Amino acid sequence: MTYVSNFIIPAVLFLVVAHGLLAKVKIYESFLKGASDGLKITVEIMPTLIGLMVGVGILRASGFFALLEQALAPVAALFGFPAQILTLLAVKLFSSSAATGLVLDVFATYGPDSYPGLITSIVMSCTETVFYTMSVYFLAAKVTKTRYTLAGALLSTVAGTMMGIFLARLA
Amino acid sequence: MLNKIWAFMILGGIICGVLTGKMEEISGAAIESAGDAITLCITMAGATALWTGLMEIARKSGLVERMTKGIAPFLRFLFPRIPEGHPAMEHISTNVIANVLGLGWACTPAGLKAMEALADLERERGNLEGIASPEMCTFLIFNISSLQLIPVNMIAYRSQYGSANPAGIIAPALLATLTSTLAAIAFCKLMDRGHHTGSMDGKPGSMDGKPGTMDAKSGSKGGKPGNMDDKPGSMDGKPGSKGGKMGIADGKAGRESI
Repeated sequence: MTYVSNFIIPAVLFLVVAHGLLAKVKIYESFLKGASDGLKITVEIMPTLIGLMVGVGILRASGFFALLEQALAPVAALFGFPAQILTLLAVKLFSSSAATGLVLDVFATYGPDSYPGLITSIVMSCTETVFYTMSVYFLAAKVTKTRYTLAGALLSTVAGTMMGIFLARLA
Repeated sequence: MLNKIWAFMILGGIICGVLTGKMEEISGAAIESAGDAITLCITMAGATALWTGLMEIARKSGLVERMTKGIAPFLRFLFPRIPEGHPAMEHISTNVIANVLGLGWACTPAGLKAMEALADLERERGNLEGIASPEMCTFLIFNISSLQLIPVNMIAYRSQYGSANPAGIIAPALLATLTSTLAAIAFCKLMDRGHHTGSMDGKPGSMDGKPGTMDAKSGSKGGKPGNMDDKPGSMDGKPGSKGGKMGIADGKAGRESI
């Protein structure tokens, strides 16, 4: 599995550059333009990240997380993972940048390669902000009756999460 | 939504800190976290710029367009009842490919246009407005199932926090994403099958008047008594929270390309 992971980034790099070369695109100039757009994006998200990391930092320092984790520990123990992950999963349904704050908190506490760190890495990469996406998209279509969307979205999120936990345990 | 979450974090944290007597820690954490956010952005900037640079090449060289066309047969399988050449299809494929490639800023606009086009399609079909069509449900469930090929941000976070192999999660993340996406497809196909019969025969008459009686959608065949009224109220989510999605954390994930 690690082998495949290590292979993907070089493969994408190779493919894109080779395709660009064959298509006679000015690849390096295009790269520079795209990269500078990327930098702008990073600058734009900076305030968001500051806001949320301060929020999470305060919650952690206040002992709130410790209390919450204590309360959730029995439930989390059922699934065999740290209570922090439960909070993270719940927050991710609503806001992915708020979840990012918690992800970083897990990494800082346990390390990204620990079991909780791996669950976090995998599960956060395979789930979406269910409620946020639904509200924005359905608003665009002026839909108020969302029928089975929520059920389907939650089902797929649960499926991805269980698979993610299973894989983290293997790794 | 973020307004409430953020208020909760700050106010809840401080109130909790008063009770546990941790004001000093809170003061320190507030200042320190703000600094950490900048450090993180600096690490992330490199990975993000590398990726967006690469994607610019992919876009200019027509690779993105090729992929968008490449998934057409697959999308036709997912949305068999969208007429050939309908604009909805184009927006959907743009959105899917943007998701797969992690082009966060490109997926939302295309996704919104896709939803509008699907709403038009419902109008053309003469169905009631304000009710999600099966295509809308499928599109959203599929979208939410996460489609991203390489979780660039996650890799950057991992490297910032000293992972020995930040990219090591790509394959498991892809597998997990594939699982959630397959579950999504299976679910949609199942629900759609039930719906199919119901909505077909609602179509002809429903052009005008009496919307009340028509509502093609609601499975007049008794298709699905239970699911129709799934969370009518769940939609009030204040999409205003812009920042929420930005580029940061859209953990989207991908598969059927490349």
